[in-house]
Amino acid sequence: MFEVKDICMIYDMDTDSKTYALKGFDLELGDKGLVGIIGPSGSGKSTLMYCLSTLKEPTGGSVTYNGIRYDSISNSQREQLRRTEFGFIFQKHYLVPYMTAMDNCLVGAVDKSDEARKKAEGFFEDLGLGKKEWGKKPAKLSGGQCQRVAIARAMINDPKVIFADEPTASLDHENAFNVMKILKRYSQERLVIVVTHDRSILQDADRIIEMWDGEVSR
Amino acid sequence: MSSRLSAWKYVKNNKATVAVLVTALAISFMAMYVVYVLLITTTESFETIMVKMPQRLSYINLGAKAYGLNPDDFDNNDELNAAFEEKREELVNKLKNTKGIEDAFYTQIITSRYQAVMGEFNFEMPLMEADQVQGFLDHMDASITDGKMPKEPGDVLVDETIMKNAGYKIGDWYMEKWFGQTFRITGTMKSDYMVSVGVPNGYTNSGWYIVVYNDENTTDMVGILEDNGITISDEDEVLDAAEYLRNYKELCTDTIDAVISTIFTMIMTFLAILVLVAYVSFLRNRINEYCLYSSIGYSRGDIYKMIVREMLILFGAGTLAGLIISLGCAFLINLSVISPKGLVGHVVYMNQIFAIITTYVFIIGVLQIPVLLSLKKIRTIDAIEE
Repeated sequence: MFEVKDICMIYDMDTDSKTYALKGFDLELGDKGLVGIIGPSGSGKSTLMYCLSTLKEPTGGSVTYNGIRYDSISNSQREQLRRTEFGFIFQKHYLVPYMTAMDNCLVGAVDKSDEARKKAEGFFEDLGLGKKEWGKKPAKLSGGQCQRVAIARAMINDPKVIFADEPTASLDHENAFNVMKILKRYSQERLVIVVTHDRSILQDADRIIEMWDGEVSR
Repeated sequence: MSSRLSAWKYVKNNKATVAVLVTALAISFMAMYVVYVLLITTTESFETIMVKMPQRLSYINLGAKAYGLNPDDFDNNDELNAAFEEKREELVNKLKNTKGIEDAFYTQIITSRYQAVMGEFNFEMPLMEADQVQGFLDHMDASITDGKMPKEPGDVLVDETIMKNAGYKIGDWYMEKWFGQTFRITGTMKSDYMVSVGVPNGYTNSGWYIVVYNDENTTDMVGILEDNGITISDEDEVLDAAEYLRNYKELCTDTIDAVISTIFTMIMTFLAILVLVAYVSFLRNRINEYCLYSSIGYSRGDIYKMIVREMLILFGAGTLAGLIISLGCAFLINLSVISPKGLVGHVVYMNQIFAIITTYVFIIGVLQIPVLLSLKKIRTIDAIEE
């Protein structure tokens, strides 16, 4: 599904103090499974995920998704990919503060019909978010509940890939475990890429990519 | 892409913020409309006297020179006066024989007064013999509505609008503050020209004039006089349609238009600044939300369309609320101030509604600047997290 060739990411390209976030390596990822990208802060794991998800453009090398080379497509085609093929779970949940849990889930939906609402309700039930929580705004939800809404939002379009950046960072152990269980379940049919520095949450990962100083170390 | 970002979500979930903006827009709309209604009433009210009335009635007061008389050519004033009266009588007869002029005669006039919301206007009111009054009424398409015709010296018949305006009742002394107990109101009349008429009683106020019953085709009294060999100078007074219209423009419409424009500009500038400041803060508070939309695949165009739709909902609601409140206020002002005072006013002024809406559209246009600047600041969440 993903084919990464000699990927390079250099920050501050125009200055003398260049920062190499990705130092040129190849990588291939299949179309399903739970893939963990692990490494300490500054190892380039988040940068790699953002490059895979089109949010960042590498300064060198190429990323190909299902035969589509990112450097050969327009911005709107990248947006289209993010909208229809990818789902995102960010470190902070980034819920819209004035919207209810349900509206936050549906904000990313390509199809905003009643069917999408039913799907969102199904996700909420699967994620253990009680009915009375659906109409609440993020300020009235706990951190774990917010992250579950963010997961439902990421899954609402049945994306082929879910990118999760430190999805359990703001959660307690129990909630973190539950979130990973949900992602594992989703990864049985689709690809889930989880970026983390916490190895313990990747117990069920199908593949772990370890990064160190901008390179894949293992 | 079939789906789009909903503008209603923000409106529905931020009722307090939306209410403040909508109220500001509605109150500004109302302020501009109500000020306009109050001021334009003056223009509209004076229009009857200063534009319509001279279509039927003119006043001429000429000096000896206008008739070609040189005082040095006469041995004494009696001779001069005799010649002057002869020339005047000759002119009156010529005027009477002019096509379109129904009648002309030399008579005394007094000042009548009409007070609007802003300012007042003093205008001429003829005094004539009792047997001439019916002819005057016929010429002015006027009819008596209450009381009786003036018969005795000092009796006056007053237009019912003027009666309302000054708060007169039949039997009251007319313009008592100025004339004392001189002219008694015997009746009211209704005409399209807001005229009054009375019988002289020896009291002199504005002097003597040739009163001309003209029609729409004979309003150019200066031209008619010149055709009759009269040379008009600054010493002469010809109160015809052109002169009244000049006064109407100078004293009324130009002044009031300037006041309306000034107030309108002040309110609009204040509103534009207020809305601009509010919107900049509003956009700044929502930048993370726009970043999220961008990250999950919405284009800047989608986000821009959502912001514009929200803006249109806010301005639409503000305009609608403002329009309803404004028309309600205009109705109440008409009912409680304008109509009881015998002033002319309306509830709906389409030109002002259109002007306010146009200005709101202009403000929406100005607001595109901060919106477009905010769109430039939208990044994806990866940039925020770094």
